[in-house]
Amino acid sequence: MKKEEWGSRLFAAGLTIAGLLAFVFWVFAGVPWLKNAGFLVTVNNYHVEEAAGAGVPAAKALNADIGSLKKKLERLTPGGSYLVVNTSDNTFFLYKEGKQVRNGICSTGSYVKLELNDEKHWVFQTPKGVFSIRGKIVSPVWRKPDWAFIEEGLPVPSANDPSRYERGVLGDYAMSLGDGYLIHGTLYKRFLGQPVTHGCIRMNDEDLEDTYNTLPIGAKVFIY
Amino acid sequence: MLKLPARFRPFLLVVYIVLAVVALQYTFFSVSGVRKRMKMINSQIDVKLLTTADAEKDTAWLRLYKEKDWLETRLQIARTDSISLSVDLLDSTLQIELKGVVLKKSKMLDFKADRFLYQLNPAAYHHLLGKQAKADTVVSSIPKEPLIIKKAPKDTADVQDAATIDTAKIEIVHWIINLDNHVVLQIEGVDPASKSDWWAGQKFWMSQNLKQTAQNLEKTILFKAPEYFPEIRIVIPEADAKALYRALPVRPLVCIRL
Repeated sequence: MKKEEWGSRLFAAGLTIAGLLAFVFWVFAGVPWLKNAGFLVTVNNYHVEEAAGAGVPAAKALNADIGSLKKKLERLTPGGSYLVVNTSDNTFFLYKEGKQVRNGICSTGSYVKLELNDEKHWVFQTPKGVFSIRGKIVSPVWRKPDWAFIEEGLPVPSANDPSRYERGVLGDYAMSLGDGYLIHGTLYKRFLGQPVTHGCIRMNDEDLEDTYNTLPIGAKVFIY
Repeated sequence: MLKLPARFRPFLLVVYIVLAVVALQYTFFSVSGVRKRMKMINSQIDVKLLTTADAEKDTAWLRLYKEKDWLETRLQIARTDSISLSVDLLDSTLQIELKGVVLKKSKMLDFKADRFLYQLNPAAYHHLLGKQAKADTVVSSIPKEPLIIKKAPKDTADVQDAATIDTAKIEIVHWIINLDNHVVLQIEGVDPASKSDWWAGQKFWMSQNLKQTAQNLEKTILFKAPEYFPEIRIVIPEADAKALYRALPVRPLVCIRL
């Protein structure tokens, strides 16, 4: 084939590609710009009529409603002490009378799904939502559940076997959130700030003591 | 100078005509989709009853009107047991709330909302954004629950070290919420210090864009106006984007203030 023939073919291909590129540019950039330009949309004008029956509230009435709604919303925030736990960053925020009094790192659920067989499995996840402190314990003793043995490759003992009870591993204090979930201390302080627990919330000794002393039974714990 | 041989001319002409027709058709129907959406909102009974014609906008009153809508919606959502997302474009904040308590607040680094949303009159605004919206679908670049599957060890020799959990995983965090009021929220997590893959982030947006454009093209070729979804694009820090996304339920309730 002649050199000129190749040149012509390339030229034709170039023109086709240029046309296609222009099309793609218009579809992905031109049309979205045009859709957002605004001048093509018919705006239904309006005016504010404060007369009765027009259905439009007066500014004074709006101000009064806003004041009342703001008060209602403010009342929803607990007046006493409460705790907020961020399971994504593994941080906590302790509030007292609407003010943050302490914050720091903690550890929450690891999201490990431990599979024993096709039927039995456990997901080590800290539950999200609003909870309350149901019980406060000094020098808690950990009663190891079945998964603690299975995870270590050990045989599961009977329900009240002495090997199920372990002292000192939960720190000096524990606060129960129900369903076996606790806020407690840890021996593994190097893992604080990481998602490594079986669903409980672990804190360091000072944070745990302050939280224990600040939160009464019934205090709200918000976990997200 | 290169000359286009005569035998290529008809081919090129056909290609250019086809592209031009499709582009024109796409443009016309896409724009009419926006107009149709505005018309549809304005034709709603509640919008008609509150709207009167031919006058100037009173910005102070409008601000109060939107503020009331915003507070009412948040209060309405506070009655549920679900973690919700509050998008405040006036204050440039994105926050999650539970029972009316603000759990986390993130300052927007940037945002862009379709002009369509700012062209709504108060009644249309109230119709579209004056009540809680529920997510129809949520698309994300990260999993909701980052499950790590582990088989139970057979014996003590088979036990894996618990500290091997990969917590420092680098991942791009972008998510999209398609709301039942047809507004689309696009959340982009950014972190200049992060080593997350910029290209992977672009691929996420491009694939979403491509999907939507392909659907729209298909409709316009069939002489139908594609449905218009007003978009709000918000840029927040990557860590916040991840925390907010993971905190929200699968179909979160959302309230928006412009």
